[in-house]
Amino acid sequence: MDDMRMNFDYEHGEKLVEVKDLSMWFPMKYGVTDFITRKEHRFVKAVNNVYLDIYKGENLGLVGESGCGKSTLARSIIRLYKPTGGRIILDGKDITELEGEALRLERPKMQYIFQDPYSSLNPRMSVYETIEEMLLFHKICPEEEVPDRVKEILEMCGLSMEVADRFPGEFSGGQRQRIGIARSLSVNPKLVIADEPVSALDVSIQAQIINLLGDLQRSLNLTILFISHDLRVVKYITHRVAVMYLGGIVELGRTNEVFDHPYHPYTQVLTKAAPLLDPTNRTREYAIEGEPPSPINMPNGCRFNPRCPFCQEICTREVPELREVAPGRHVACHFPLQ
Amino acid sequence: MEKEKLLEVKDLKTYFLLRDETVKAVDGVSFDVYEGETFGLVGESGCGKSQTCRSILKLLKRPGEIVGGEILYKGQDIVKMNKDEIRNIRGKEISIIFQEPMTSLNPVLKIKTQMFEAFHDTKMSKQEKLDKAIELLKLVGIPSPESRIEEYTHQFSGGMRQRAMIACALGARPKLLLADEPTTALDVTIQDQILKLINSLKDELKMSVILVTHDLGVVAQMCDRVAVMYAGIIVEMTDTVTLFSKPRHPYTYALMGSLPDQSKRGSRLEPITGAPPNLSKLPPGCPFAPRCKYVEDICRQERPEIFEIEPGHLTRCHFPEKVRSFTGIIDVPEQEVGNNG
Repeated sequence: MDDMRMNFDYEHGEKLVEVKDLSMWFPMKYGVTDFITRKEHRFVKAVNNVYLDIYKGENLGLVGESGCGKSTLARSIIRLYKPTGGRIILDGKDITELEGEALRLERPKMQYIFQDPYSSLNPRMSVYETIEEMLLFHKICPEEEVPDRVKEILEMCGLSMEVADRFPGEFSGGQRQRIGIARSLSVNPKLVIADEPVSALDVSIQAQIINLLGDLQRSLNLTILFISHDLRVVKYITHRVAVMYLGGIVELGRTNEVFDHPYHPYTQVLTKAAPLLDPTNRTREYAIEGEPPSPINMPNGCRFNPRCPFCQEICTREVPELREVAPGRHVACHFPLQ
Repeated sequence: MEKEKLLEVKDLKTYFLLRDETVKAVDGVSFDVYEGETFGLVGESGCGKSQTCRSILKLLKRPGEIVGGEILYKGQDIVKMNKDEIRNIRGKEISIIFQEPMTSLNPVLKIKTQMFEAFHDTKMSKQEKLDKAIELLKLVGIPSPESRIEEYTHQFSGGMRQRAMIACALGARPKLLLADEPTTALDVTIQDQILKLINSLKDELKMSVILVTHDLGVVAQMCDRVAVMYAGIIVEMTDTVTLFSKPRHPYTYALMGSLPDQSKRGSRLEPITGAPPNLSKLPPGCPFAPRCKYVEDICRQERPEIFEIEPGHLTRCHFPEKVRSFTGIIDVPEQEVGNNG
């Protein structure tokens, strides 16, 4: 297992998801006065021209500050939004333009685990009904097999059949997250998006859920897109990591390489900002100033340039492309760190 | 330690008296805060760390009540103070900042108006107040404070709001700042900025800080001494370096073992089994007993007393011999530990 985690074979890996030039813009309110004064339409440019491949069986981390578009990207990938531009290919099939019934048929392939399991579970449905609904709606198994299947899924997620008749309100945060995971996995998804699945949990419970996700990934050969702002968790659990800043991916590569030797100044800032678990090491040589700009008025050129300590003239003019600087290492910077 | 004690909390008990049960949120907590130090209160949600913090300023929400103990601030007992007396302490001697600045700042008042409240009973003119407020905003690093002081909280970002709240809290130059999870709602980069800000203000204004947090990383970077809380009591208390190098309570030890870390990649984490206990139905023995790996019969029957296992290092466990063998997540040579304490 050690080997599998450290050396995921990308060269021979099969792509499960291909994201090509994906953009997701949300229009801002355009009132009558805006129309009369012929104001330009404005957009919240949450995701801009993202290219990303997700390989079968990998755990890909997606990190960045709040508001950088992590969740929007993930939600666009599984078509909870209709993207403004670009293509999404899931398991060889283009799902960008699918609608209605055709999209519904693809739904079991991609599932979402939410940060707050309480607000994403129906408080008036028992655990059994929650999972039963998934199985019947997506016609995963014939009706008479449902009880067995529910039992199997609950046990897989570390719950027993005793909890089946209870309601979400009766559970603690950790158990609710287990129910959320059980529901998502009940339809045998190929791609699971875990959106901050452990951020709302206490440290002692967090470890239980992290172990559970790791075990499930290995036993079911799941592909996970793991969104988190907690670098410690990401470092521990993911094979590869994509760092996002203001709607774009700025760095992508194997987790240990990216965090040990960041090429992008922003990645370096992120790794340095996370508090070290070592009271004897309090040297904080540089912290970043300021806050991310608004995704409505993006800076020209490299989006990170107003906060970048190494900013040069070209950075304020040209947007750097995400390019491969070493095998499997992609970075969007005019002057990658060495 | 020759420094003077600024605050002494002695056997503080804060209970929530509900109709048919009593939630013992804080059940006999004692600690001292010295001048100029950062004291950490760390624990999981529901362990009573925030209620301890709020008790110090008597900011408890009903039906919470301090039912026992003393809180001595410069020798005066805060618990016995009436409303007017406590008002002379709040904001002037001891200030508090909260986790979510949006809910603790008033959304319908300008930042200016809220900041003026800090000097409401001084004899400053309007202009003096304004200058003072702008100076404070500058101090906490808000750009162009002259114009931003006229704005409302919703026009501020999360990090800016927290800065504004710190500015409000510092209005009267308090001696003690209570920071209740000040960075939990913020991103790491902003967290880093706010923690640095608290540190530099602490030095500049010669304050003491009580930092309430659940994040051991924040503790490691900020605190001089730490108390680890579990189910309303302090289970371990020592200086930060010792805590991380020689934890002496099974809970602290288990907490460190359950932290994900790059060095643990590929191996399974060791979570603490089960969930924290219900504070209204605490077991008679050690509250951590149901989740403790080293539990024995006596743990379930008798609550252990807190005792000094090593000079300056308090723990609450029936088995001092066992906990002496724990190793922390950092290695510190013997002589260095004393120097940092």
